[in-house]
Amino acid sequence: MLVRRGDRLCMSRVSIVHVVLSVVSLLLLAKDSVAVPNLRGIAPQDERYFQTAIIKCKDGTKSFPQERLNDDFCDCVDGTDEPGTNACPESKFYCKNLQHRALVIFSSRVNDGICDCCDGSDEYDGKVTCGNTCWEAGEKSREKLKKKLGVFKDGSIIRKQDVEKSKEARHQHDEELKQAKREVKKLESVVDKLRADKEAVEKEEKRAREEKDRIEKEERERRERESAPAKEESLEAVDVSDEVEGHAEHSEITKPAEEEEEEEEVLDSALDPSNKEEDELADLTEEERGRVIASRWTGEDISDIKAKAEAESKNHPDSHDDHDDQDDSGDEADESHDDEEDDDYGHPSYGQDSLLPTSSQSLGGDESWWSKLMIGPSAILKMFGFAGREPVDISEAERIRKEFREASDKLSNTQSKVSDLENRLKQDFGKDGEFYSFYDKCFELKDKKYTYKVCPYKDATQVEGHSTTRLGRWQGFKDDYTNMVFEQGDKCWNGPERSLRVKMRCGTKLELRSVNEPSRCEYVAEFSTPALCLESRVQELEQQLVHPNVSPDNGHDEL
Amino acid sequence: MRICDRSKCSGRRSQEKGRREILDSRHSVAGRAGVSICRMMETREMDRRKPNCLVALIVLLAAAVIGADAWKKDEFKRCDQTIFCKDARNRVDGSSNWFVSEVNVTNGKVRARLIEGGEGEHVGGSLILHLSAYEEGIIRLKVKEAEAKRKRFEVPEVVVKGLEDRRLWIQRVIEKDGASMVVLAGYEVVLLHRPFQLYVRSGKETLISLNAKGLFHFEQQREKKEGEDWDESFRSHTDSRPHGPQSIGFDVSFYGAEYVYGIPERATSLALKPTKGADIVSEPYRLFNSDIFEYLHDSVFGLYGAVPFMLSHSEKRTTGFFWLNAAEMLVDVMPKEKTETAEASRIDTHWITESGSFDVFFFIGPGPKDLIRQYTTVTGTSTMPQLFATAYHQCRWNYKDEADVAQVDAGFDEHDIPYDVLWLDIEHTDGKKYFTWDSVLFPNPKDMQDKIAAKGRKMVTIVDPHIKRDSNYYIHKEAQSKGFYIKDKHGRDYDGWCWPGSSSYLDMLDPEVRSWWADKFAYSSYQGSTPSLYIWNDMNEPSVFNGPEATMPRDNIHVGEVEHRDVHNAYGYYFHMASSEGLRKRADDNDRPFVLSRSFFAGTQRVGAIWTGDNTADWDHLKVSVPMLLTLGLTGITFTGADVGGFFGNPDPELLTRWYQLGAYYPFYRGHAHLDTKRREPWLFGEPYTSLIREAIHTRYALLPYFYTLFREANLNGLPLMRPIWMEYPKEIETYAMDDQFLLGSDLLVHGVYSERATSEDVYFPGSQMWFDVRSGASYSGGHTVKVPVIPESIPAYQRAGSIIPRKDRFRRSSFQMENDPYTLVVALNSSYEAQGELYLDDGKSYDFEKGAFIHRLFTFSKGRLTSVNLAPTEKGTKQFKTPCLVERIILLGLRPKDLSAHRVLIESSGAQVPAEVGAPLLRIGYHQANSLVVRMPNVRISDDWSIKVL
Repeated sequence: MLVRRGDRLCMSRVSIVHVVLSVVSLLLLAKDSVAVPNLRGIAPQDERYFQTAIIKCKDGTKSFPQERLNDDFCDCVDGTDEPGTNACPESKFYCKNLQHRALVIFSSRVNDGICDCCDGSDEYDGKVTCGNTCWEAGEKSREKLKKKLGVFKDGSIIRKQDVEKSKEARHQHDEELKQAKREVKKLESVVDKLRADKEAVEKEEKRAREEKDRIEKEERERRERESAPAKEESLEAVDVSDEVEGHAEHSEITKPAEEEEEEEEVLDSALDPSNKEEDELADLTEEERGRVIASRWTGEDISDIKAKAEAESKNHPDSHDDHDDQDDSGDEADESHDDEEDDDYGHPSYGQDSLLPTSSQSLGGDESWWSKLMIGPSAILKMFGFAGREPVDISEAERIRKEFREASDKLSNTQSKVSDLENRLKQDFGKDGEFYSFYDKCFELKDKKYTYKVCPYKDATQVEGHSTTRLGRWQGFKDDYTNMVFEQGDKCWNGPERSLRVKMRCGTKLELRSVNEPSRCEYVAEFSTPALCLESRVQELEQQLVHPNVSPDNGHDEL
Repeated sequence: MRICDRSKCSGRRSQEKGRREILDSRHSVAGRAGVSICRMMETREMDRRKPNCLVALIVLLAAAVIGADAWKKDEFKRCDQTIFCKDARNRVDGSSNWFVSEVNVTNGKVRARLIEGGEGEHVGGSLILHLSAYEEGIIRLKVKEAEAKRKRFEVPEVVVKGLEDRRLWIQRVIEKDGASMVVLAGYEVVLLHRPFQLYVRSGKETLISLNAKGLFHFEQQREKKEGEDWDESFRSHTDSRPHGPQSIGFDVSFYGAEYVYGIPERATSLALKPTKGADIVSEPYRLFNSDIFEYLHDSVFGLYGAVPFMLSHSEKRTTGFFWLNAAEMLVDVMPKEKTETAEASRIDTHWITESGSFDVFFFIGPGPKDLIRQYTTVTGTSTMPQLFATAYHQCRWNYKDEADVAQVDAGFDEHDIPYDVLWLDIEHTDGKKYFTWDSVLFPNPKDMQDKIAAKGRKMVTIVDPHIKRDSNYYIHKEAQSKGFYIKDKHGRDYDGWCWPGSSSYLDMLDPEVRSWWADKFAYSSYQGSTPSLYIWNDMNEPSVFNGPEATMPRDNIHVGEVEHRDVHNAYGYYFHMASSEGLRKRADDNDRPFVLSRSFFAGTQRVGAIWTGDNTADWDHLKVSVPMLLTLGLTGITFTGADVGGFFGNPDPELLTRWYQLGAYYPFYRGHAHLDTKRREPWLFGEPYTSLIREAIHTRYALLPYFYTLFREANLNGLPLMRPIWMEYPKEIETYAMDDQFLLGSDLLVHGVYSERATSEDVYFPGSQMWFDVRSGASYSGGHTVKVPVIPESIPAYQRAGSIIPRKDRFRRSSFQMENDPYTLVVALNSSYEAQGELYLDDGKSYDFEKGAFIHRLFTFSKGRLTSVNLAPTEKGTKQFKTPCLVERIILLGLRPKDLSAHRVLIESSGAQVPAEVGAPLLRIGYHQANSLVVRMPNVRISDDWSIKVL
């Protein structure tokens, strides 16, 4: 039977070995093949399905007589009738791989001259001779499995401890939060009281000041009556100060108009056949021109050349440059602002804004109220010079103000703590809170050029020298807590926004193991953590070690 | 540099297309300024929201659209920016003033003198004309200066060596009515004396003419006049034009023509649209090999290669014209005109070149296949590829390192998707020095190739013609010391800028340089190369980033003091030729080379494969790939493909899938992607796309025997694999401009799906016979356009009734494992229940087939019986090819219902009987039609004579 099949197959060379093997197998087959079908490529648990004289295609479309099982012609499009040959495109071949794990392979691998099964059962037409390497492979795989199991066992213990610690930490943070909230409430009432005191004192101060102003005004009016020109001057002074502020606002508003102008320029230059780029390119060296053109494909940063080209092609370098400089400085300012924001990420800012006096102090003159503030309240009081009237008790006012300030500071700090804790506690820390400790951790990996920094719940960056590129902002876990995803990173020059996917697997240490960029600006990192060492997997692996055939595992090893 | 973040700029989301245009315009002034505006705004946005950004964006978008387009155009010369072209285009009909004298016959050729001006008042020197004729309807006309100051460049290595053996010996000319006439078999050539005009006629029918419109113009080389300036500037470059004006122009008319075709390469329709005439504003078609960044999908612009060959076609006649000239050439096509004499139409064309020789060929058909045979008689037929090269190729700029290569290779196996070749782009090298490897990324290139080769697969590395000027680079050192580089106008090695930075370019016109270059591919020379490594030539226009029009200055100097302007369009061809020769040499002439090239010229078909360069991942580019490849096929170059998926940009999975489905029918089938794009290996989009793409690639693999047979046909007869419908159905006028569907060989009709979520396509079924859907077996009768339903699994594809297509239906890892797999013969019966088909096969790799080691079978179904007979020459060659392959299945489509029933069929040659059962034409889940008869395991040998009584 087998020999006949051999004939039907296309064989360029039939080795003597094969002939011998065939004869042997023929004998073997003949011995127990009285009514036994050719069960090549069928899993033991499926063998019963093929014992009947007429067998149904598994997709139910038709039936075939048993002698057509594995006869090297595809009758069922789903491959039911040809599990042991490569005749059906959709069928699968089962190799027993005794002493190792059973394997299911695509029928395209059967008799293709490449040994896929360690028992060599997929290559039986004699083109190649595959030795049985299952024992070695099994040993290797068992060793690997053992090692893996070891890691999982150790890891799962750590994980357990971590989960406990997390619970404690969480509990503690919960308590802290409650405590802090209570404190906030308390502080709020203290601050309210102090504010009332302060306002009372300040009201008195204001009254005193107004009194003083009134006196001064009268004095001034008296003097003005004596000399009219002086008045104009002082009015003018007021006007000027108005203008200063007004101008600042004005420039903000007029900027867009300038932009529009530039847009027109853009249009013009696009329509103008005397192309600007040509002029620019003309001023470049051969090398620079080459680099500019090459950059179209590569996206190389050629801003240096472009800057040069632009500078050289400008007819009125002064005005334009000024304009550009302005923009640049604007950018820088904004960027530094950016950075500040970034640094504050996760630590809500209760900065100067909340410390600024809320009551509106009218601070005349051409000095800004900022500098005035810097002088401090006592100086202000002194400056006002409460002459003639019964003065407010300055030291008392001071004390109240100080207490108020201290209490407000404390309040805002506590509020900040509350919001910090709330922010932390609302995060997703996994099924068992196993990722709780990730919250304020960052993991680093130094690769040749770059240092990669992954901060869960925050962001991921790539640092090269002094330049930091954000690979993404925290998006959360994906795929059943096996991946951490960071998206919306810095935009690529000619591509998408950068993103990073951190693939996690079980390991006893927290370790960022590798970072790759398989597609431009799409990064993939590998990360080991005990958090992924699940107890259930330990049992699975133990099972696998005992019964390697029960759960054929073709997947990737986790280590 | 950051690009404007739209979400911050405004709530309005532009369409994807708009976004691309912004991105595309990044190099334009508009784009660049736009970016800075947007950046400015983006940062400002953080402070306070301004409505102006929306306005700015709209303005910017408009500017960018114009900018992107305008910018690209501006970098390349318009006709009116070149003196010779501008002058020629402004020339009016009848302005030519040449007459013929001294007609005689010398050495079997007609020789005559052309004189300009009226009698007695000659202007300038005279020209000498030579007219010769070759077997099968080929006429050659050469015109040169009687006393040339400098010999004009004649493009070598294009015309096949054996052509002169086919020359007819012209005995005499007949002088009559002021004309000289040469009578040949079935046609005659008439040389009108005053004015000089040439007509090719067949009986009373005029086929083709030269100078009938009087645009013949021949700038004779001369001394520079006092104070004359020959410099010609374009943008920042100046061409010194040391030999002055020397352009040639003339008109060629195609009589009776409905359309003209050919003159690649450009991304436009198959039938060439008129470029000159009333109400037509267009540049002429340009043939000037250029590396065009992000080319447009519908443009007359010339791209990477050039073949100055044009065909015309009508119901009655196909004619052709070829100008062997490699200088910048421009061709205007005039709208179809009615001629005075006949009721037939005529298409006039105007051909202009900057320099070089006047050496032209006329081909008289009569049919399209005759015409292509004639053209390939002159320039050669397609080289026979190795079998692996006809399978699927996986490429990307770049597979990063050895681990990446291993992972991609494993990915195909893991998903049971076959592929044959894995490609490495420029990043595999050490600093873009070709023939070297990046020692960090590819420390063990041989091991890597061996691992791939263990599965029968191959690898390809890129080798470009720009050589890094690095004193530690052995190629550079040798080339420099041997003086093998092209020189600049001052005689120094030309130094241009390309991938490696400062680079020089090998003078591939010089046979000595080509031979030296070929030796660089020897295993001993190319470190890290193995026999499973093949080659890819890119940037061979040549692309020079800082050169005029992104190429080499025209006043650069090649061997023999030849100016680059004369060689330009053939440079890439010579480079391709030398690389191919190298692969041939390294294997002692016993392994067919595979070299893919981007640039090409007439004759490239003899050297290797061509792809359509840097296309874009959009539906328009998918669609335009068909006319582009059809045009290449018409001009002899048939081993061609477009990058599946589109090079620039990210295809969505549907586009990618449709591209894989169409690409399965391209002669050259390769997926490729730009460095900046997302990964797109077939399994990365999840289901259903992985399965759909796998199915598309399997379609290709199953058809490999048919493809290989067609490649042999191209090798023998020059016929392209991808054919316009009219090539097989020359009388069906409605197909003349059809380029959204095509024939693969004569037996498969293919129509792409060029739009998203398409549910139907209009397919025209030519001929009078039926066409059978290759998947379902459903039949459609010829002569109709049918709105056919479109399914996700496949693009519309049909087998012609009356044909037999050999397939190999078993899935494998690569074509290598299919070698001994059994065949399926798909017999599609015509209305008289007959069918015929062929199969060619050989060892798929060596040149033994040239010594007779091949099998060529003819299958015929007639009177209920399928027979196989030998088509190969009976006299035995010095080598033989044997195969143990069997026929495992015969599928018959188009039977009468009464014949469609299970029975036993007799194998007459052996007397055995096997079952025939009712089944489906395709082995796939979900396909359970019962419209075909399947003969089960006849198991006759594919190489034997046999007959099977089926009915």
